[in-house]
Amino acid sequence: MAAEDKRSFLPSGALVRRLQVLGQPEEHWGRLLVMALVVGLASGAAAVLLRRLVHLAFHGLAPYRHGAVALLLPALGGLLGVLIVARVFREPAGHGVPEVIRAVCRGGGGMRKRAMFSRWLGSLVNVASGASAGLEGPTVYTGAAIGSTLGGWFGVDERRRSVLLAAGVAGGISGIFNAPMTGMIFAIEVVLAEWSAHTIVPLAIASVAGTELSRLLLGDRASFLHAPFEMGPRDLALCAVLGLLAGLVSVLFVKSTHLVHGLSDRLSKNRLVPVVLLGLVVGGIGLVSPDAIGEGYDVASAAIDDQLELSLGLCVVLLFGKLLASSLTLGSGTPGGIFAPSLVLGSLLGDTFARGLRAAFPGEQFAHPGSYALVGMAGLVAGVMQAPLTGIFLVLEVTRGYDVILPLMTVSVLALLVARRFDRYSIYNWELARRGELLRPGTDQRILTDIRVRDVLDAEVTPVSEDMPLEGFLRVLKLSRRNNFPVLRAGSEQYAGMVDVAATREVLLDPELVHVTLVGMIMSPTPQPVDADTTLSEAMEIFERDRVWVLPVTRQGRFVGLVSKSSLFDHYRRELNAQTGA
Amino acid sequence: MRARALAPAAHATLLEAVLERERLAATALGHGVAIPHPRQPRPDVVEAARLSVVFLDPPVDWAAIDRLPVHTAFLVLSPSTAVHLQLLSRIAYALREPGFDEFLLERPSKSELAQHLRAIHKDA
Repeated sequence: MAAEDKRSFLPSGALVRRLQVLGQPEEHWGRLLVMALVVGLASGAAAVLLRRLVHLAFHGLAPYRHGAVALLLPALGGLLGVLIVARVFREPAGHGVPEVIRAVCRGGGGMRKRAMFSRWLGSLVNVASGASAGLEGPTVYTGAAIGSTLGGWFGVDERRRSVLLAAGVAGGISGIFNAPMTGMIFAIEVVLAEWSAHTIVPLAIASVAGTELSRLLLGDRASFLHAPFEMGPRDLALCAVLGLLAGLVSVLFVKSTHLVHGLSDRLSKNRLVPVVLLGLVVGGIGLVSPDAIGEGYDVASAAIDDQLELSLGLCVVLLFGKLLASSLTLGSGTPGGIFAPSLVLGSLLGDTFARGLRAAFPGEQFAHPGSYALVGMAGLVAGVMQAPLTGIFLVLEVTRGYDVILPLMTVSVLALLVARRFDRYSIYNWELARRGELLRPGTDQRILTDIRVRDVLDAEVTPVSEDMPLEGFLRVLKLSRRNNFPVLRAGSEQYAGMVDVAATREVLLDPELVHVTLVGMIMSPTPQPVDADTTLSEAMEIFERDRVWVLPVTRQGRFVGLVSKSSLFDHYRRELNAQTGA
Repeated sequence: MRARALAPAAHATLLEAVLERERLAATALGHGVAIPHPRQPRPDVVEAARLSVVFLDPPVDWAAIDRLPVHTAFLVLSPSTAVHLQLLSRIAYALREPGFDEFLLERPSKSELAQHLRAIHKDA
């Protein structure tokens, strides 16, 4: 970011100075925790406000949701949501979680300030109108942007800015679910993918702040009230089957969303066309099956309470209707999240599974259908997001019950296994992985891509001209401890070759030859120079391929310095320490 | 001499290349000997190394490091740097042999010169 931009967006006066003092590089834990607290409160407030407004608007629109208006509402909401995100704020489509992960992987935790508002407003309009999507994705995006922006104001380095970005995610998710562990675990498992004290402590603080704020504003209540869990050994065994089914439904949901995404791209170059057309289809689904659209937590609650007054067949229809409506909403690129549809689908799957058991074995006693609905929710979160811990902790926290931990773990890990059998990457990560941008901190691939040759350039070298007689070169050699000397074309800065002192010792020690031989005669045209923007990864490949220890570096053909294998290793070690907090 | 076998068109090119090299730094080795050669190996002109010997009468001031006028010039043409350096190294080595410059002043024939050089390097 340009320095001018940074300055122009800073708040003025004493606050700026205070924030900048907080963000000094030598900050102690206390400073980072204060920052995480501020970020957690801000992102928690944004999340709670968004949820409250969406509920008010969704229920406020209920009287008008019939006939043609019902058909048109999701399309209009989607259109308006996309217009807000794409045209007003000029941001990319979708729920935004991949952009958050990308900011951590490749952006040094930097996000644009406008990201604090774009999806917040876009999803408010979209989900309130009946789109089959959740608020968690936009909450993640908004919270991340808040953390990143505050991190920018505090003047922290990239590593801490990424942590504060994740703190925003943790605060937002904690606030929206009233679930601090879930917020923290989601931010680590999905966003940062880094488990260390440097990440856990600030994220815990942000989660506590976001949750407490949510409790102050909305009251401390479990998101899903339920009958007590009682799942015996037989139910636990049946949960293994439910886990496999949850994995399959997750795969179906992810694949169909990708399919719709591809269809949307082919449908029209104008992004608004698929939004309107697919929004009309979602509206049509809503006319047939009203429970299939909207955020859907009412449906999930009903499933948990065994209050869905539907036959087994209609439950299956609702399950697939919801899956279709969610795929169409999310695949069309409207601003809405994956979290809520995953939870609702999971609850419907669990409920349908329980009904299926009762229908297949009429005389048998099974656990309450709501229990299956709850573990189904964890299964879908684990499968769709490939985040089993998030699924487990979410259900534990939103139900305030620990009794179900064994079925939860069983369903979550089996769903994850099935999902990974079909897709190596989660719905959040596949696009980043496809673009080669899923580079987690502390990994070889990340460090090797982060460091450029220019970062480890040795510019304190003495290049010699190819026309220099060796007797002149010997004088240079006497003043240096190097073994490799770059050679430039006569009268220019163009790289010509390299003199390896060890390989040319015989000529250099010949008293007569040094008078009549020019440097150009003893230089080698190899190794070929590398560009200053070459990544460490590419440079390492060249070192290995050419079996050399030093490479000349050029920028637009002009020689700028040398890079040695040993300095690369040294920089790699320092970067590894920086990224892993060692 | 063998250089006469070169294509006539190459003569002007070679002359310019040799003069260009001399402009950068004189190729006089001392002891009345110079080794004019192009800056770069010339695989486009010669397929194998060639050594042409020219006896100068009168000797020429070649800006030698020992300030002695040059009476014998070895024109070195090589297809590669390695061969070039090897040839130069052998001539320089021969010059260190006591009496070699006097031998050159006698203007030996091609075969005598070749035999003498072989003998020096055999002893090495």
